[in-house]
Amino acid sequence: MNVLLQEIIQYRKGLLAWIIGLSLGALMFMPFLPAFADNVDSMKDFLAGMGQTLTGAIGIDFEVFFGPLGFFNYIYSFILLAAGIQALALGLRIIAKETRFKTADFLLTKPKSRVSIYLQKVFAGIICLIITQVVVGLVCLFSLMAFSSQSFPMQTFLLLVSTLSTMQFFLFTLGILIAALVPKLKQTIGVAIGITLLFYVLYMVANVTEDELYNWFTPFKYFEGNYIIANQSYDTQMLALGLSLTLLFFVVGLVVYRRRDVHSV
Amino acid sequence: MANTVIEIQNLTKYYGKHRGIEDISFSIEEGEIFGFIGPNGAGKSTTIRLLLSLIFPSSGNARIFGKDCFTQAPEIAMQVGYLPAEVFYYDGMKVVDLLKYAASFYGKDCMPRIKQLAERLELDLSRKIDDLSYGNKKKVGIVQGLAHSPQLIVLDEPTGGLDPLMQQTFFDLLREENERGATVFFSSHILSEVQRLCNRVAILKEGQLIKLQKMSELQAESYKKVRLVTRTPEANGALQAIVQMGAANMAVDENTASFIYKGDLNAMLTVLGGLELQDLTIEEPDLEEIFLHYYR
Repeated sequence: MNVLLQEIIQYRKGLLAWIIGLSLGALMFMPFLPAFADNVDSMKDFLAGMGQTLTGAIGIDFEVFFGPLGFFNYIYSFILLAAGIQALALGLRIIAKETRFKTADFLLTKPKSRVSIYLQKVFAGIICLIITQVVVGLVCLFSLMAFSSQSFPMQTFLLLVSTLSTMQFFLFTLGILIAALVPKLKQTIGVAIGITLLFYVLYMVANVTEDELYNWFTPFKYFEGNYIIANQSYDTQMLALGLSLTLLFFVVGLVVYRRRDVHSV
Repeated sequence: MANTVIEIQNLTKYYGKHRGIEDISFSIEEGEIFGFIGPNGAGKSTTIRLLLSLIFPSSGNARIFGKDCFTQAPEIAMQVGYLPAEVFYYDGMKVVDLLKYAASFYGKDCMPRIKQLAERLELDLSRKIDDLSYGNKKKVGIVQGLAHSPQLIVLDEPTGGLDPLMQQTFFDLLREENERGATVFFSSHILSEVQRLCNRVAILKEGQLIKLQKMSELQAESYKKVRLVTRTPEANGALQAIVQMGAANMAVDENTASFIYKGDLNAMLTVLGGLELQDLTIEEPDLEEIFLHYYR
């Protein structure tokens, strides 16, 4: 447990910064909810003027967008994007920092197996992400209750909010796998932003082209809010794909980490 | 008969196509202070990193305390203290927090020993690691390597950054640990420090073990680097005689000559005494220089 605690202690400032950032992001946009609800007609005209290609690209589905939680989902997709960067960066960092800050010799010559160190690191990351998810989820819930004039279906809301968890765990394990494969990774936040934005671009391309092939390559489709609002459930097939990949990344990461050469500094 | 602490058999490590070490075999007995010397790039660190399971071998095997280094690493690590050539720790931590974290892996109270060692090494436990000098960071490394009273101490070029007085204290500590029963495995490229401390040495060159001998034997082969300036340029006869007696790398330039000498010092000084010397220096050669001429 000592490695797990140490990891959480080391990440505590970063965690606090991310939670504040994500919560502020949510709080900043929520006050627009009443204004949005009051001006649905003019909004419809405006968006229609933009053309379906553009609105589709940024994830606006007309039928969903003007329903309950539609606008919230739209704001939430940007929180997901930012939280995705956090998770991916954390996954990269928690493994890569031992090489980057040259502490691998210290840690890996201690009487703990690599499997144990890996698991403790992963669980430390998961705990930090769960804290993020709970706080951000609560901030969303309370601000939605405070600002939204419409009532909204709680079950759909909870499903929507839960995409923060599935998305973060997916990107977190992806980060761990990349860091296990590329020990000399110097930049973590830059790589995290790059990869997450790439996934988002793929999501936009998938929306515009409506080519189902693209859906397979972006987690923003695995856990898509528009689908949840329209169907009151996840897209089961996509969810299964996302969760399977998460598990796969975790297992392959472990296998690589266990037998990896740690070179001298 | 003493127990074998380290047993290495046909150990080979390649980094892709690059050679790390090739077919190395030797063993170290309990209670030995074993020197592991060779020039930079000879494969000393590679061997040590294999023993510590930081890297994995291409072939061959290694055992410590009879346990397999690659499948039983955590059990072995319980009894091993390791001090790397360069120490790096987590930023923002205080020395005492780092040492407590390190001790937490061994499941015993190491605090009394940590305080004792810090006092001996004049290390302030309350300081932040980021603010420490290179030498002081090294001291943190020594304390965390010795705090759990390991049965085997593995040192990879450990003296860099320590001033001569601190080196002395450090060597005293190692001797005390050795008297307590700990085996010491000491890698270095500085021959004199190995000579001061070790009972037996392995000499490594270009990834291969080229010699395994007792310190007393190596000491008989005392190498000196000699440089002399004569008042008259007619020293050739004497220098020829010295080459006959065991000098190598002879370089003569007018009145100046330099060479590496291995053999009876008195005999050499008798010959040199016949010259009209203006200046004479006799010093320890670098290991590199010895290797260049004696272990081709």
